[in-house]
Amino acid sequence: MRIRTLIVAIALLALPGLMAAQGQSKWFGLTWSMASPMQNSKEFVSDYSFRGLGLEWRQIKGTNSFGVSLGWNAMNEQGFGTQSGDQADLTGYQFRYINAYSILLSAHHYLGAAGHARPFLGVKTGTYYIDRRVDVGLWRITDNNWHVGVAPELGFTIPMAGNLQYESFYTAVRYNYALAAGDAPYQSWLSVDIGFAVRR
Amino acid sequence: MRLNSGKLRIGVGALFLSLWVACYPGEIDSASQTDVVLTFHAANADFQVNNTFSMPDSIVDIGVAAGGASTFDHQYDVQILAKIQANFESMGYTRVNPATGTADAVVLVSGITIDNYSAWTAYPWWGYWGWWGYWGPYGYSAASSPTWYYPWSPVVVTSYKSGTIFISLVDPDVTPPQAGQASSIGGAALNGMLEGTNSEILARINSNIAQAFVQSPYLSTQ
Repeated sequence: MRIRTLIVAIALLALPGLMAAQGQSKWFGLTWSMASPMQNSKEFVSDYSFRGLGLEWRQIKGTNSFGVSLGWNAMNEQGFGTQSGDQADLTGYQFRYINAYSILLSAHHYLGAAGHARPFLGVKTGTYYIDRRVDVGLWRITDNNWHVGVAPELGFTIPMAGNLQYESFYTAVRYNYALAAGDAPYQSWLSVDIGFAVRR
Repeated sequence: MRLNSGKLRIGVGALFLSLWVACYPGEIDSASQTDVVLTFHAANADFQVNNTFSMPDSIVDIGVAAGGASTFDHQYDVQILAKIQANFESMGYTRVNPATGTADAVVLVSGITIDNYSAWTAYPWWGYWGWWGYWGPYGYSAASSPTWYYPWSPVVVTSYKSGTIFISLVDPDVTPPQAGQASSIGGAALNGMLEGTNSEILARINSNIAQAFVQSPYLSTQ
């Protein structure tokens, strides 16, 4: 696990530099991704999550781009309570988690003029691997499924000044909707991403 | 100092890395957070017809009969049974000395400290409880080959380095599906990790016994 973490860490550190050398019209972004669970996901875990990362690549042509994005959002909730069934009642601490990993294709359209703050809107679609887990006492209940999903998003990018003309900050708000899969109902959450992008 | 692209990118990468590594959600961090109180009851049981109960004055270690070593610590049997008695009394019951009277119901308390025990299944019970000399008025004997009747079974209690205390409320007046079975109309399993000092474990057991009655209001005789 530590080795895998180290490899991914090195990749994360090296990728911006590598991508910057790839030539014009390419965008590489890293985001801190927060999430607010909604609907079925909120019934499972209700806390706002500050745990998540995003990694994306975009090929820009004119005012449009297409690309690929990878994401991870970890949502959790812990509490103490009693759950009742027909003939049974159970009391204990519950630790609930949703780990959602996404591999999505993306398309974006940019407004405004190059070199200035630019809003953009886009849509991402692909697959989500969602792992839901409940720990109660010494018991663990899990389900994990691959979901097909779609994620419309709105955002804007702010280019940096001076000798950092290839770097920019950007932010995006995205509604993630993963269709039902296996025994899991559809899952949805609102992501708020704050990130850093390199463009050449 | 002027910031250049390389430093900025490495700085941002390091920031994201630290965010990723440092922020995984918290998990169970104390033994008490592993405690679970499970209670069961027969769906159509009439608890109000029972106003008295008898209770053997020992906790039976069912681990041996289930194939494990006997590791249940009996030093707190008296306190645990007293806590259970007090909670039944708070629900309106009166404890009866079986040597002088026949109670409406029998409360049996057992414990186990081994893993992977299938509770609430139809184990023969005479081997555990036959030593209690007051089964005669209820019609139970070794010859009747008594087994349990749990309306909610089977429920598997699977645990790791944990201890479980079972409380079973037997009503001899409830007709079981098969002759010789003892009908349990209510049950509780108090499960948790056996970590901490003995006094801490006892405090958790007491708290969990109280919780078992809090979440079983149907036990009340009123």
